[in-house]
Amino acid sequence: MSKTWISVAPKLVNIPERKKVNGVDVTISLPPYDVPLKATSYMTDDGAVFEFKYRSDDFEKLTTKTHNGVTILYGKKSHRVKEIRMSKDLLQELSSRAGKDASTSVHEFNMDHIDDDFDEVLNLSAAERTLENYRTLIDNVATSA
Amino acid sequence: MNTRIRKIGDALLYIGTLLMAILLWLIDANFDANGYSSWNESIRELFIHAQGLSWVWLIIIILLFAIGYLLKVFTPSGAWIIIKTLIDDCHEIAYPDHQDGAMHEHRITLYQYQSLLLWPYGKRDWTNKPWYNPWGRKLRPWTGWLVPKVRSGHTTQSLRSVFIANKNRAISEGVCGQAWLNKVAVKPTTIRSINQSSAARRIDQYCKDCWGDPDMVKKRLKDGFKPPLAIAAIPIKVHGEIWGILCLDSVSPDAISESYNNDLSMIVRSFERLLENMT
Repeated sequence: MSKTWISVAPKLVNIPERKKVNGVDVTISLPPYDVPLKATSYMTDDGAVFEFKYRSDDFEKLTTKTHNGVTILYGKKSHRVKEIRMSKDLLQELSSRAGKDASTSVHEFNMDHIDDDFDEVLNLSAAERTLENYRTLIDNVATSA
Repeated sequence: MNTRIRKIGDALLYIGTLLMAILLWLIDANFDANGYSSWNESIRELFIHAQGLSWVWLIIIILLFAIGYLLKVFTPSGAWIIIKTLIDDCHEIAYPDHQDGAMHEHRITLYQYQSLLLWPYGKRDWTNKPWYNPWGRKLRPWTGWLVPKVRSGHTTQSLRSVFIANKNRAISEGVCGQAWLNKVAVKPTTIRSINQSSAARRIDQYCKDCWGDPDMVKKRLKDGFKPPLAIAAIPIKVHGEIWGILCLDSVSPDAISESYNNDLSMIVRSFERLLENMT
């Protein structure tokens, strides 16, 4: 199966946030190294997969964390999210809740409720924003389902 | 030119190594032994004479090593020249409205993280430090430091400021220290302005706004230095770890745009790639 990679515009994904750091008002954003360059999605026998590509990510050892049917594959050292996998059971649950087919429900899947379980994955927000901003473009899942 | 100087440095190191091997053989050889009896008498005399001057050869070899090493260390490699060019490009992107006039008032500096700083040179001369500890009070060579490597422009090359980068939030210094500690790009939203006649309380407030060292700020104000009113720092990562910090600072409070990090992302990625192949 050939993957269609979509180029990610840093301005859409890396949005500065206002925060208080050590008592000082600052805007923070991710270093360019942690922002994905490309993204894609596709269906497998086990469920849906969202994949992210970064500059120079071939050296890295990866580690996984699974919770509630969502598996995140990320760099051991850099904590950059390489893949987000959603199990078939989760897809079915989402589709029965929404009364739609599984592939459509992938696009409407909200990452908010899994955030707390993946706290140590530093750049989850960049991957999440990539999904939000490119949901309409990442239509491989819908077409291949 | 730089490549030629570095090649001369390399050549001196090779010659030094070769002469050292010959000297070790010369010191060890016994020219009166039977093995050398077949040698031409005048050549044997020459070697015996050279053997007597071993210490002179040793001094020559040490000098060759020292000159070769210094030529290599103090001549920037091609990669560093490219990084300097990229930093100048960053300057054009980050400060599009400040390309004429006082370049030293709108700067970009690349800092390298060093877990061990063997000698702080004169870089921390503003700190109120005891005579026996040139790194500063309660600081050690292994505290963790951000050391300036390259700066934009050609009139602003006085690289003096070193910042503490330590996992202890209380001692990490400057916006650079906080960017290193939190592993994100940081830009204080407001930095209150100060000048030479500002009261100590106002200077302390300025330092609080940007995690500055009051001793350093007071010293720089005394020297006629205009304090930056806009500062931003971007972590530079190599092989998944922070290599250093790219710091933007300007005396103009609105010189750094909100999108500075994304505007510079392409260039930052390029020199991260270069650094990856250098380390």
